[in-house]
Amino acid sequence: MSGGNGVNGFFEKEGKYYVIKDDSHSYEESSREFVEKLEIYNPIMGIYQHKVTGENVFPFNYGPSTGGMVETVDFKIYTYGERILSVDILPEFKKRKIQVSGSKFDEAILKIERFNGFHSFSYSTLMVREIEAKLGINVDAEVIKARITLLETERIISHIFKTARLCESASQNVAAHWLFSLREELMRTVATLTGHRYMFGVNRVGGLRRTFDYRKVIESVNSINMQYQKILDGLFVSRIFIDRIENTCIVGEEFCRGPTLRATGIPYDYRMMDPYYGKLNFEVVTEDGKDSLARFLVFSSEVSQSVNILNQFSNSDSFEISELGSVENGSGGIETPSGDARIVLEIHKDSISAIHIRTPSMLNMEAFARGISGNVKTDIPFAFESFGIWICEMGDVV
Amino acid sequence: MRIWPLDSIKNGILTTGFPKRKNETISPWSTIPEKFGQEDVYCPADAISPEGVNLKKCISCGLCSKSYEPSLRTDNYILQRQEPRLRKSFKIFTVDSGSCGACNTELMAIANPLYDVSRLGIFFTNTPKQADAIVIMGIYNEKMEPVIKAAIEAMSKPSVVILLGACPLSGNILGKGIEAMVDPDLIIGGCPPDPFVIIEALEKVRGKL
Repeated sequence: MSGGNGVNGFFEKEGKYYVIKDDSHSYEESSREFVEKLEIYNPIMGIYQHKVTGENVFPFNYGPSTGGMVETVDFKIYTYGERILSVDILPEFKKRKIQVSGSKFDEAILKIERFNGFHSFSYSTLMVREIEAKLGINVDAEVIKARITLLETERIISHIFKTARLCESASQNVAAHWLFSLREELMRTVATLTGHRYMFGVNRVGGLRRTFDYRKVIESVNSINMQYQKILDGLFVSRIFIDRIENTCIVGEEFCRGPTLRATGIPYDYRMMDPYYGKLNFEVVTEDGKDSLARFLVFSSEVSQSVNILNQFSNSDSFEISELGSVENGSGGIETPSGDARIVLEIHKDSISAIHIRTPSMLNMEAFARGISGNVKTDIPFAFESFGIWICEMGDVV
Repeated sequence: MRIWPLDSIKNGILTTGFPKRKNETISPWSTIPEKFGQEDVYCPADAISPEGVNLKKCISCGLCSKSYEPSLRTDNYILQRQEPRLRKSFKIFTVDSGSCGACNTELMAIANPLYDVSRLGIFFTNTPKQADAIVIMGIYNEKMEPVIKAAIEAMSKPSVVILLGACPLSGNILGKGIEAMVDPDLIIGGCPPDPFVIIEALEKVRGKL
């Protein structure tokens, strides 16, 4: 895949710019003007190319199918030994094209749940709310409470999983196993109450397909959170763990979404604008480190914030929401556990006629590709895990 | 400062006794549904016929709940061939051909302390060269076809090929399955399959049940 003009990489040295042509490992002198016009990366199109070259530089392939990663992805690492000079990321091996337009609402919801199964309830809520807004359906407060419960529970499950994976990659196996146990306990509660561990089939236009007692989920969440905080207490005094992830994969603000963006000090969280969260009080967690440790701290603090949100309405009957408007051609959003996802939807009678989705992983992948330069190869597993990227949500929904 | 090993001892044994003992929980709709009513129901995956529910097609959505209910059984798989030579140790290599991530994490879950399949001699490996079983998840993807074939070719013998979840079996409602491309020894249904179902199926294919 080329970024255009037959060029797939560039670098700058002593004020001069050089480009690398397709299928070539040599470089030729160019100009800054030419380089600025190149489209080497385009996260929305799934292009993450950062090829560099130089004396003794060679591409080292990691993937597409390796046991170390949760999903299929190929990293082409440019290196002359241990240090990563740059990395191309090829997520297209498992890229799916999901045909949603033309589907009736029920089927479209099932498809979007399977776009990212791990964050299925976030995506189904994103779609369902947009359809409800277009049809002028206002759901009652009990449905919204149940939906928020599952959204926040999904966030907690996802964040526990990510912190566990980070611990595992940083050789903190005791903590990792404890965290995986907590996630499992919470998923069992969700399965017992909603009928499915990943909340498939729960959401529908105008309400929920399977009703459940959200207070029982919140009880379980509180119990899990107490244990989670104990594990964090242990991790925060482990110099080995802190040293391992501190200053690893430092990123700027560009391309970051969700917890990755908040770990650069930017207090942006779509929930602040989300009508469902109306008058619920919660803090947008931020950190300034911009590294894997900062992202870990954001993930772990957001678990407490989610519990705090759930406790507010489980203890109160006077829960208020801002009214969702009826929008004919609008674009909706939701804060998934990995960051804000956006949707533009058109409907015709009881079917979806057009759909466009932008997911946080599309952008976070570019942030990872930039941040990992200058680190060493052994940093890749936990640096990658600290971004909360899901390759599945980098596919196409048409 | 916390001393984790002491905390672990205080917590006691969390690991299930399955498959010798009964499974503690199960994800209800991930199990094959059973008919209880006569009302006509809509199945988006076309899994329901007069003969029953097709395990390969069922996507665990529960849209059939007016006439069907979860069986809560752990036998949501079809065994084509057993390989008893793998009874003592069983190393798994996973390949994701185009999944939503749920099957990947359910398969990983069998290694967490609540299931701990290492007690049964089941382990994960990062290379097909050392694998006794390849577990393939997700829908058919042209780019993954040579990767899957190369991984199967690289495995030492005896070995088994396993398809996990509705996606590789029927393509789910998202695409094409991959059963025609490989010759599976075991297929496991569900979207995604519950960890208890996965454990029982793995034990079965290596002739331990």
